[in-house]
Amino acid sequence: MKRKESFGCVNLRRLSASDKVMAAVTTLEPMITSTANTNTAGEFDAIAHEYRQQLYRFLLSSTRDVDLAETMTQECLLKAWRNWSSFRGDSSVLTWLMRIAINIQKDHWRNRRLQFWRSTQVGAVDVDEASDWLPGNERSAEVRLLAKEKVAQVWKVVQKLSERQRTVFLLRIVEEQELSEIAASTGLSEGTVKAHLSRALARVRVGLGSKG
Amino acid sequence: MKDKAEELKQAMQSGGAENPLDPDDEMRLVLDDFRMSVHAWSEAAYHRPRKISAAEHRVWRRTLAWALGCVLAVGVLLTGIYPLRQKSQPEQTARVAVVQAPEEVAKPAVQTPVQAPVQVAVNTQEDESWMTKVDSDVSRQVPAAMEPLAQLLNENESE
Repeated sequence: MKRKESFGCVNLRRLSASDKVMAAVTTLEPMITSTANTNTAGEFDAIAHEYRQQLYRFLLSSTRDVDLAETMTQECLLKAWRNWSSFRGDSSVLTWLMRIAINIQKDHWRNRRLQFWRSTQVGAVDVDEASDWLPGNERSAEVRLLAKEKVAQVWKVVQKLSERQRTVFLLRIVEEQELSEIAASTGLSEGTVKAHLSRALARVRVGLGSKG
Repeated sequence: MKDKAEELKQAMQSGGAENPLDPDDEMRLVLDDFRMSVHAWSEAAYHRPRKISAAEHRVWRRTLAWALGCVLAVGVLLTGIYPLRQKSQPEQTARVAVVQAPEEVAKPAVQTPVQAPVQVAVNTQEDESWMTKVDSDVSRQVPAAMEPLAQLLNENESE
């Protein structure tokens, strides 16, 4: 019982800032009280702590939408919690969570495509704005500006990549995952992952070359 | 579709031959910058302060939307009802007339009959011609002493 309380408390403390997140927590709360046993809740609490930010980062880089990424992260954790009992541990937890995140993202784009009267990327941040976040204050202003331009070029190419290529590229370059992990997350073979990655890198190279 | 499959196959083969994760130094630097920028952005967005006041706005908006919706619904209903009423008014008048007609037919037995204007005009004309004829007949029956004067009068009339 103690663990259950700590799970709810941690979630509330971490998520109370956003009303969307609050809604998800309130959905989660009765479920916890009714079904979860204390050990499971404690385990999942630790996992949510450990991987939430990484999931958020991947979804943010995929969508470039801060709010959407947050909603999707919450949805991902909710789905993971619901299916936590069926997780057999065949793959790592991160791979499993990434797979859920990728599926949520796919569903989102599919739904958006059906809603053709809406713009596909309503809340997405502009490419230039996304490339503003460049650490490394030790570099000179000129070098920083040049690096920022290059990063903006990479963003431009990334947004033009196919869904699979983008996913593979971001998992490899941003999340620094192994090819086998990417293959497990995406449900593709390792060879296909390599192919998608090499094509994505080739396009990035071309994109950088054309402006560089 | 076939071309795409072949292209993918070739890429897989080339991917297997040379390491696709081995970009040149310059590109590696750019990709490192890209990774760092995503990490920094994500970090900032993840820990950003959030507002909770959105709910109040939502209540206001919902109330306003309901009010506008009600006004619109009433407007639509009235717009629909008004022409119907306008249309049904002559029908109602006709229906009342039909109901009142038998009563009016029954009344002439007691009251004087109401003649049609045409009939009245015809009757008046007949009366006038008849009266003229009577006048002329009466005027012809004058005493013998007055006969020459009557002839003169007739001549004047004929002229």
